[in-house]
Amino acid sequence: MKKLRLFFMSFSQNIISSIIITVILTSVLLFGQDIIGQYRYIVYSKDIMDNQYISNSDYFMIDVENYMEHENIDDWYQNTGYSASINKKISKFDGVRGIVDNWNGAIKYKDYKSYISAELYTDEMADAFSKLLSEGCWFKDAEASDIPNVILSGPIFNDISVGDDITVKLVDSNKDSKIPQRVHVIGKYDFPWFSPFFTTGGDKVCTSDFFGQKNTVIFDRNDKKIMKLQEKHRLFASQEMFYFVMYDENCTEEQKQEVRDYMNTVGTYSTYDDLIEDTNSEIRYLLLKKLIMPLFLLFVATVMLISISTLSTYKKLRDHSIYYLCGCSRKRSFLYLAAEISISVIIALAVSLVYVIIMMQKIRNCTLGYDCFIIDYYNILISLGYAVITLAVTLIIPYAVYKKNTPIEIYRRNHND
Amino acid sequence: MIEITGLNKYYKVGKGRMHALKDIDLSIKNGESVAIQGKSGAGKSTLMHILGLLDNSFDGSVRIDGKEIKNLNDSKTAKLRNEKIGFVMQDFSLLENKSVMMNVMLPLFFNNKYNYRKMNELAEEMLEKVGIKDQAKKRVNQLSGGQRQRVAIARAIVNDPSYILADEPTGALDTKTSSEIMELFKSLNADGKTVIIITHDNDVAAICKRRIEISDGSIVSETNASEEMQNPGT
Repeated sequence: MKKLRLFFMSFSQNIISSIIITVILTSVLLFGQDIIGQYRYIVYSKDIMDNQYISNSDYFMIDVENYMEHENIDDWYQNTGYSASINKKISKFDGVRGIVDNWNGAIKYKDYKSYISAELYTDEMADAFSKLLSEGCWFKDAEASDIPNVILSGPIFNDISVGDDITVKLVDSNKDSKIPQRVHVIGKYDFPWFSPFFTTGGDKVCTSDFFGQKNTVIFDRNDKKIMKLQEKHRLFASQEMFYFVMYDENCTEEQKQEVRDYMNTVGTYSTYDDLIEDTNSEIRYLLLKKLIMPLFLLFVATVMLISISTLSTYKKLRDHSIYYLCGCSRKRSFLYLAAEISISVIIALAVSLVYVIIMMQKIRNCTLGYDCFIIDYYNILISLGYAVITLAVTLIIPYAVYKKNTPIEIYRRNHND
Repeated sequence: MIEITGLNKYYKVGKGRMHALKDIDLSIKNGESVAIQGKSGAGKSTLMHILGLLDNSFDGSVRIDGKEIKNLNDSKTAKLRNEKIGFVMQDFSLLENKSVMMNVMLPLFFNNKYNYRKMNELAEEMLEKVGIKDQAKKRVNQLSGGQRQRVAIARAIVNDPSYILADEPTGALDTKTSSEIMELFKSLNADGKTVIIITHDNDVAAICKRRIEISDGSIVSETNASEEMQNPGT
């Protein structure tokens, strides 16, 4: 306790500069967490979509004006109407393997107040996003079951294991009723629990536009039990405005061109190469434009920290020579000095750590859902890495100053024989 | 007891070295009062640094209460210095912008003998002893030179060391204050402390029973008060 008093007594001499550095470092580390989270998410989304199926696909975007004119909500559930007709026409082109689109509905699970997303996957969808599955298997590899097979994603299913049977309530949006359904869990997604969706259109589409972090129950569109329910109720809908057109392995460039020519008449498309190029440009933007400011502030704060700690060491040499006179060892004396210098970095790191833990806790408790962002203990490791490097650099100079100026040197300077 | 045998100290000067202390043999018994005198540059402060365990790079042997200090590491030297030696310096060596109490308590922070409450009690006791208890809450930079030196003396004795080392303790004080400070040293010696004063001032040295003169790094003369009585004027 008395050692702490001595530490604070000495620390209080630099309190203002320490507070300034602590505030800058803390802000930068917190802001940095956000940028790191975004960067990790983009890289993650690119990695998930880097596979033979997506790389052999085009992303189709319907002409929205035509869509608005011709489509009505019933078409979404019955797979009829304007967009469905385009979808069917594209599917029939030579060289097209299938459509990777998103059918969703809602379910209620246990006593969770909010609705949980329910999705209907084709084999093409499962192939396209196969990397998301971290445990168990996809529908085509699973054994047949009396009840529908499902794959789960999201923190609320943390206590459910592959092989378990659970009951969910499928929401019929027509009657606003809930249909209890026992399902068998054959697979799970792990953290960060991103599920794909296709709601983005425009000139520039990136891989990061296709994912959302949510609790999801995934069903098989080839499962007759589920499709029978879908016929009777309004469970899963597809707006079919945007989707991937997946080509066969042997599809020729001419065949692809025919499909693309058609897509141009009813909307636009983005090739996989366009998608990756736009994603890379987004990454460059993030690194060069968004990250540059926190990196600059981090650099300024680090230089300030080094300068102030060096000046403070010079300023405190006399005090520490008095400590030495009173029986403080050189080693312990430097530890006091190092603690004073390190405190700003340690506080900034601790605040950053608390922020990450709170965010993770909120995500796990489903009180916070984040799109375009990944936050976990790796973020802490990055901050920790920064803190260790900064502290090492910041302490080297004061150490050299301290070592060069021994108490005897200081006495001799002050009071020659 | 302090026993010095064959003490030599060298300083690096450019590419060469300077012989600061030459073959010093000296022993100081517990309870003695010793004045080490010499002109500026004679080596007296260098000797004090070695006696005070501030510098242990020397040739020869220095034993304090039987313990050879040359081979002690940084932590052990610091512990011995904390327990055995109290310093009073010409420039006071105080934490200028800290309170008198904090300065007096300082040596107690570096051992595990007392808790903070006891440290306060001891510091107050020492301030009473040196006559500035009423200044306890003031910052050192608000005090006069004489008061600062009293703070330094209180700090030197707060840990109850056996040896008080004073380096030109009255160098920055006026005559009246100097004699008050010397009275304090006398009373500390009367209490059983070994007092070693480095000075070039004969009046200050006069309060010590033993006087050692250093010149050019060597002991050139040594007198006891009793010898002086027998040979006045020598």
